[in-house]
Amino acid sequence: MFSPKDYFTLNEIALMSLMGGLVFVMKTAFRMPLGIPGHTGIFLVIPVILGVAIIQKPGSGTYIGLVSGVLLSFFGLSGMHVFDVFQITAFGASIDAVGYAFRYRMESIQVGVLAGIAGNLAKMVVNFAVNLAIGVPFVVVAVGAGISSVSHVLFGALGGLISAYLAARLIRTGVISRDATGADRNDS
Amino acid sequence: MDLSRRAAAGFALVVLIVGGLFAVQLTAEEWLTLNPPDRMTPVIDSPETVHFGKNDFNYVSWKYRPYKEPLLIATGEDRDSLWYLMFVHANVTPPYGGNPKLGRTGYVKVDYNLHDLAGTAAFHVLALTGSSWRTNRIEGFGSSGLFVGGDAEPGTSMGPTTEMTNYNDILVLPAGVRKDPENAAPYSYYIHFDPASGGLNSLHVTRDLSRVKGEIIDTTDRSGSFYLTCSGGPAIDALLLLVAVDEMQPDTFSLSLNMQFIRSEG
Repeated sequence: MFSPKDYFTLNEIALMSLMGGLVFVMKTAFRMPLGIPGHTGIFLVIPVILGVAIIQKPGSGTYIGLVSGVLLSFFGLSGMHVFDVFQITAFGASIDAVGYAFRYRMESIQVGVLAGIAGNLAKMVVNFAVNLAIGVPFVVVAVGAGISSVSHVLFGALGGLISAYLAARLIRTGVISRDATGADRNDS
Repeated sequence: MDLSRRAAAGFALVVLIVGGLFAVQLTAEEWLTLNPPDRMTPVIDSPETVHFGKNDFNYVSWKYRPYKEPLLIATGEDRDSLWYLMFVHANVTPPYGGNPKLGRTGYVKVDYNLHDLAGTAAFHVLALTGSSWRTNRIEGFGSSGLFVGGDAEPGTSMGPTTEMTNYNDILVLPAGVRKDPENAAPYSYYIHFDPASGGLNSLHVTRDLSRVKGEIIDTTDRSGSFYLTCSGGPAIDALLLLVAVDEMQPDTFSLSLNMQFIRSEG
């Protein structure tokens, strides 16, 4: 019988926590003053997509996003402070959803790119929602929505591409064992 | 559905979402074109000149001015003083330093002339944005304020004053106006500082427009000019200039203020 305690193994929880911490570390270490909305997506999606590729269970991406969101909130690295938890959790949850929809074939370029785009776009949309919730006028948020979405898609896609390559190499070298986790059993 | 078809559906969804967001952006830009800042109120660009005497100080306070927690009127030697206060309504377009598409960017120039000033006169600024007020800070980063020293002999009396014991969620009457509390509401400003927000970092008093955030100005020039600037936040709905003196003023005391909004490039 399914038990919540058995859903994620201890190893999986440790890996997801590490990946969440890696998102936080990357956000701190890679400070690129490009001034382009969504540019951090190029590296932030990598730990989440790889985590989802390795764990291959619904909720893994959400967990990774939640851990990194909590860390970013507590350390107050961005202007949004505590509201970062919503953005990054949505970021992880959307990659989670893409992984589930595509049966965790994250080594596929198409899937990796879509996952990166989905994560970055979700982060952007939640950021808009938080801005509206704290009283920023709608027109201020809306006037940059289109251009911002293009840059989010671009950097998310690039990050997804890198993640797909890394996942493929990890599978080829045997670090990620698709057979052992049953990833092939539901291929269509 | 195989992987390729799912991926194609996914990319199609992304294109739809981006297209939708572009539609929202174009709509917002169209709205801004139809609602330029010049049509926004209040728009009062003509100058306003007001004159005050010692009887226009209608409040008295021991060293504090309105904020969510009592804020000092002055620091240093003037800190622990009894101050006489008046709130001057600046009937001009308020200063605005934000997005030029959302407001008329500019500042308020104030020409002041003090005659027979005894003690120190302090000038602070308060502004209403929505339902919450803001004011200038005089301690910490971004402090600004004007303090003018006078050399006249103190007077022996002032006009009737109301003692300020609360500094937030209060009704204040403009300079020279005295009403019974039950009749005061229509003439008052309800000053409320939101406990959950700041309110100290966007309003400034400066004499140098290249220093928008201003500075603490101590001077003995009884006449001169200063500017009220805003370095962020939404547009201001109402602007008050708080003038405080720490001595009783002689009968010959007078204060003239000429205020005007000066439009600046966005």
